[in-house]
Amino acid sequence: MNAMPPPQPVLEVERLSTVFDLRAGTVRSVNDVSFSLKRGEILGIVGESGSGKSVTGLSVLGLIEPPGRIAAGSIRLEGRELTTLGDAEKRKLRGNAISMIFQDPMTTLNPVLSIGRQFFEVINAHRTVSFATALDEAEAALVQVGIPAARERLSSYPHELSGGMRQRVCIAMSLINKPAVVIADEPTTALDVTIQAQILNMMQNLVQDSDVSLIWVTHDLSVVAGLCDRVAVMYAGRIVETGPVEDVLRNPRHPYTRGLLDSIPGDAEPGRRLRQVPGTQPSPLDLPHGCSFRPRCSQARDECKEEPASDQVGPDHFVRCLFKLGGN
Amino acid sequence: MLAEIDRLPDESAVETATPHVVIRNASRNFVQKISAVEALLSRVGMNYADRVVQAVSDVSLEIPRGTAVGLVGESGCGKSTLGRMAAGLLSATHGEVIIDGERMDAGHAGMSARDMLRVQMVFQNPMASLNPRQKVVDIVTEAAVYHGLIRRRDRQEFAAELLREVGLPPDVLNRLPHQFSGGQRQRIGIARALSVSPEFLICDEPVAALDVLIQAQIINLLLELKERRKLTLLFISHDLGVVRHICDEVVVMYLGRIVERASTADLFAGPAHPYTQALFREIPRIGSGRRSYEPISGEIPSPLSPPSGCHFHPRCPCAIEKCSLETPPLIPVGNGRLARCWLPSV
Repeated sequence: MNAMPPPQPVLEVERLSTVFDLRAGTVRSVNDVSFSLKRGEILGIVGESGSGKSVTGLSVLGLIEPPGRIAAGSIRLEGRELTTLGDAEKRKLRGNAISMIFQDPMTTLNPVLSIGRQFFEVINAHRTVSFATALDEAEAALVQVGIPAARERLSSYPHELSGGMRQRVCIAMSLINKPAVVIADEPTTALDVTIQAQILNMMQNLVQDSDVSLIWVTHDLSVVAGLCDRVAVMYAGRIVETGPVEDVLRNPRHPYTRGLLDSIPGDAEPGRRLRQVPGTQPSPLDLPHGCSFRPRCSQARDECKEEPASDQVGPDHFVRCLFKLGGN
Repeated sequence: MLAEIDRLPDESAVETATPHVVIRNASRNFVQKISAVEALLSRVGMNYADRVVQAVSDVSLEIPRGTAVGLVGESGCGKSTLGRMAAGLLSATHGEVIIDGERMDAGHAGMSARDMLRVQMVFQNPMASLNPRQKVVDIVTEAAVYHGLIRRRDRQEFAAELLREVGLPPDVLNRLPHQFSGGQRQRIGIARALSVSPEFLICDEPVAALDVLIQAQIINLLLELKERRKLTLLFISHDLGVVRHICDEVVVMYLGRIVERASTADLFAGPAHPYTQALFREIPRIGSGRRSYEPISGEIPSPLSPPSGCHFHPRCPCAIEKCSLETPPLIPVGNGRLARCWLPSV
């Protein structure tokens, strides 16, 4: 990823490894992961449960707690190294330069504080403002995310809002301190499709207007297709393929990406069997040698017992596979 | 029976052959009683009444034998309630469920436990629907032994055969549910449903909780079982892609009512109801590429106080005055498809 043209990326993650030291052994949740994010860019991180996509997001935020630790690699936000920061410095960053939107807005919001009070807390953690000023800012933020009667909503409590409204509040809160990077972890998974479409539409507009960079963690490739500029596909802790969304989805070069696309029933011929990938993800305690996808891969040969390197196959398109699909 | 069929409203008289499953004018209300305080206040003249949610409202549906009908809608549309009514787990407030010509709705006298075995259900969350302290062999044979379908001493063999059918190795018979992955647990849930040889299977979001690769495996399994066992399926899902793949016919619900019903091919060729159109437009697809969304505005209204007239009119881009005043009937719009709209686009 050295061939990045100017302007400088906002976020650079290089060879990040996050491990959890458990009694049963060491789990390598994130293994040698590198990516970068330009200003105003939306990166989708896609994978199944246990692929390490959420842990990647939490690592960037510095939210990995023991028994987890960042074992290697570097995370640079606007040139500043984050992995070596102390707790107090990290706290200054979170919710400020870098913020997060979680999957379940009901557990993210405090049920006993009014929305306005929670905004005040988020703002006041980083800047000293009066309650009235905070409410004004919060109202503007709520209007921006499309909440009707925003001023009245500030005195509501989370349980008085619908799921979609709560998620809008969380999004407004994550943007209130004008972060450079927002990490969203499956924020629309719990929502209905019509509401999901509203949120995706809104996020696209917000990114365009405010120049924030967005990491969208999801298991849903079709959301990535409609929303993101670039995508990183993770399997068993590694990025197996990354590149511009259209390249990767139109011309997937890794058998796992191909398998993910083939498993989506939407575009397959109705009634026919879907092309399925056999087996399940390997246990993170007992990853196969070499390519982790090898036991499930139809292309696998003996050579796959060696760990494949990440090869460039197109502009900004990298694949970690010895026997890439559809090569020219 | 014939006389009863004659009384069917025209709008639901679509199938000519005797369908396997008939749901006729079924409604289900849930009542929230007023609290003691509110009861007191209403005595002194304040206006409090029981709150009634009509979760399913006057739904009629026929499922021909061996076909799969998909039930689609967002949360709160009543699809799961309807599924539970069809399974005999919930009684209908009004209307009836008829399977193979016999009334099977819960609470209806004269229905034996043995009869009910013909209908089985697969649930969304296999961890919550499997007893965590029961071994797999017990989970999948308990019902069959209880109803005398197999002898107790044949359990192992019977269970091994069922597991083979759903793609699990027989050496897992003595394991507990937590020792399986999500996909494997769903296979166990399916094996349990099949253990009493049902003819009608209701699947309530069976793949919603699974990763996409595992989801594909389970979809393939359901397709295979449907063919091999000639099952009639009611497939409840919010995922139009999954429904398109499995179902022959699709029913779209919104706030308790059927808003559109059509064969899968017709529906995907061009939905007639504005709500269905919105659903189609807003489901993200791989092929569509990066795009700007044009979402319909607003949220699903509270089922406690649904909008007047057509429930969808406050969010509908083409609503006219009539839509807020009168409820449109479910009317044929050609090709055997039905839509509940004053201005269906065909």
